Amino acid sequence: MSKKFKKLCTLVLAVSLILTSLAGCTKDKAEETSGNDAKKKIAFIPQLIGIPYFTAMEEGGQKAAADLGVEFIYSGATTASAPEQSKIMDSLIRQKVDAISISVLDSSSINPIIEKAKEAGIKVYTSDSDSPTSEREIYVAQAMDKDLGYTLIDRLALQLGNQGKIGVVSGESTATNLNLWIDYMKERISSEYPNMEILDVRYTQGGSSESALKQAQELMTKHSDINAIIAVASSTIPGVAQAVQQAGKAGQVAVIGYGSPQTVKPFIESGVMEESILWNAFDLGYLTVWAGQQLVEGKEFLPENEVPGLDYKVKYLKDEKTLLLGPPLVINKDNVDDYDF
Amino acid sequence: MIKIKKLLTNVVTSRTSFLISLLLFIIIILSFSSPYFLSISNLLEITQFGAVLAIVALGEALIILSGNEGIDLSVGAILSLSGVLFGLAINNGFSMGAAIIITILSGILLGCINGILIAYIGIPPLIGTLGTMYIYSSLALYLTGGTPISGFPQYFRILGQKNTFGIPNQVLFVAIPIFIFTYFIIKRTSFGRKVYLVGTNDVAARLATINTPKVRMALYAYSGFLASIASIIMCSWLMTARADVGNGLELQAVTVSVLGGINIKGGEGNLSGVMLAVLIITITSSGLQIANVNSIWQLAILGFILIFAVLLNQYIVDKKVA
Repeated sequence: MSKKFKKLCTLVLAVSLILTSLAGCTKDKAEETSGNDAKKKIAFIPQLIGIPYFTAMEEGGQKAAADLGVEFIYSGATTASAPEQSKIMDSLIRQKVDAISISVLDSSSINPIIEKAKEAGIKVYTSDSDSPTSEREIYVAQAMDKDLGYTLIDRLALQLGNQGKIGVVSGESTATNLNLWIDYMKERISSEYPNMEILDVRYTQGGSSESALKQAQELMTKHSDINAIIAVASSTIPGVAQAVQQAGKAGQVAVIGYGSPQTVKPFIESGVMEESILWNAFDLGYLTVWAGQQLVEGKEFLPENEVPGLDYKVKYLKDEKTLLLGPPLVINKDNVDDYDF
Repeated sequence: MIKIKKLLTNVVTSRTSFLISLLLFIIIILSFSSPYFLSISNLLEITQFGAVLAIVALGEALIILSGNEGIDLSVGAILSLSGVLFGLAINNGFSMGAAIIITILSGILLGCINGILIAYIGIPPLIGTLGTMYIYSSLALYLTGGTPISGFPQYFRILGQKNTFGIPNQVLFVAIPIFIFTYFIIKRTSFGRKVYLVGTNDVAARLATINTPKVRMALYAYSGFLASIASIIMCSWLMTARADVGNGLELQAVTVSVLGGINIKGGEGNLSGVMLAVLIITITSSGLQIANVNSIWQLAILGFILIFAVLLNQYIVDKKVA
């Protein structure tokens, strides 16, 4: 009898645990939404949540939302998964938001749901990573993919004196934007730098650091005369830089990639990396929410736009339907401390 | 007091009524958390996200049911690989019918490979299907080169993106018929009784002249078959075949099987419980999303629900012994 009672208690305890955990995390959300009914809702779906890069975009978006008087919903999955993005977009459609922006993981699988959102009268646009074949209104670009690919190779060429053997460590082999950048790197090398050569492109599962470390080690073992390793996905930079450091080849094997200032700071300080190429993610988030508001209000974009909150003008390329944040940002020891993402 | 306790015990000991109460409880909580959640059309449409999991979980549940530490970790990889084969077939000019046949046959073949490794060669299921999971995933990645395959005909989206009478087509025309068929086989045929017997006591089953390897072989093949059916739905839903769509699905399938009341040691459990568990998981994750709950919390809540269910299972088992 008493044993049974004990079991029952356990049960009640478990129920209340679930109850409180559910109540705890939904209550504040309910409060948030109830006060802001009249505000336009602009959502952004990142590729995944919990990494500094997208958190910086979220913060930029929040700031824009406060400045512009709209509600900003930041909703993403914990892993970079194309089906999850579709599900999240579906739930945003059900919440009847006014505009949805998305950093596209897979441009073909997201198209049907973009179409569905459009049918529901929602403005859909891409930001950070595009799906050119979809029915999106515009693309908010951090920088042109071509510029990013070219700039990285140009900066690397400066470091290497226009010649060298290069290995590439990328994220998932299915990531559209990473693959595009690699293609542009190859294009730049073949047209401008006859003495530079990409030996090998390695992919990492989920762009994890451990896996990047391993791939970089293998690259250096297989090609002992390698001069540089490009870490394409931001998340692969720590692994690649550590591999080079551990092998005692800092300065001998150059490391470059698309890494956020906070990610590359320790490696720039220790001398493994000289430069990283990126853009201001905070500003990109800000611009994304601003663009959403313009779309919801039915305003046209001008060839050059004044964005309150950004201290430079933003170009709109009409033919590509692209809002362009600006040229790529080169991060080195001089400006690495200026950004907190 | 005693009456209430009796009632509680009753609800708790019948798995089905417990799961139904849990489902209702979750729906009530979610309705309070977002004004957009509770509507019949919403609840029906949300089930589209459960169709793939439901189909795959039926195979998983049967394998766990058949005992001997049975588990199929390769279901997600089979789904990815057969989906990729489907996409390649369509893109190479095969008709829809032919492509579907190719996909289903490949699913069965991949399941048979699992079956041979486990039932005839005697590799432990956990290791065997972990191995094939890696092999099948690699093959899928190799075949696509990492690029998603699109180019399905427009009419194909009817299966994964359209509704009939407000119910998503993949649920109404695929998941429900497959469930009814599987339920019938397990409840009403001698093969079904064999599965339970094999799961309860392998030695006794063999003494009763049941060909246990053959039973297990059939279940792994069936699981592969179901995964390939699910892959066609997935392709239609995304209008794309991807080498990574099945990632993580195997663990979800195990989760709903256990939550649904399938004893992880085999021989015990009910397929309708598994279907209720699929509904619970699907509605919870979709509802939390609509309420804009951070996905990090969503995972934790699923974890709570699972542990809660296992605690309960222990309670029932103890009670039966006592």
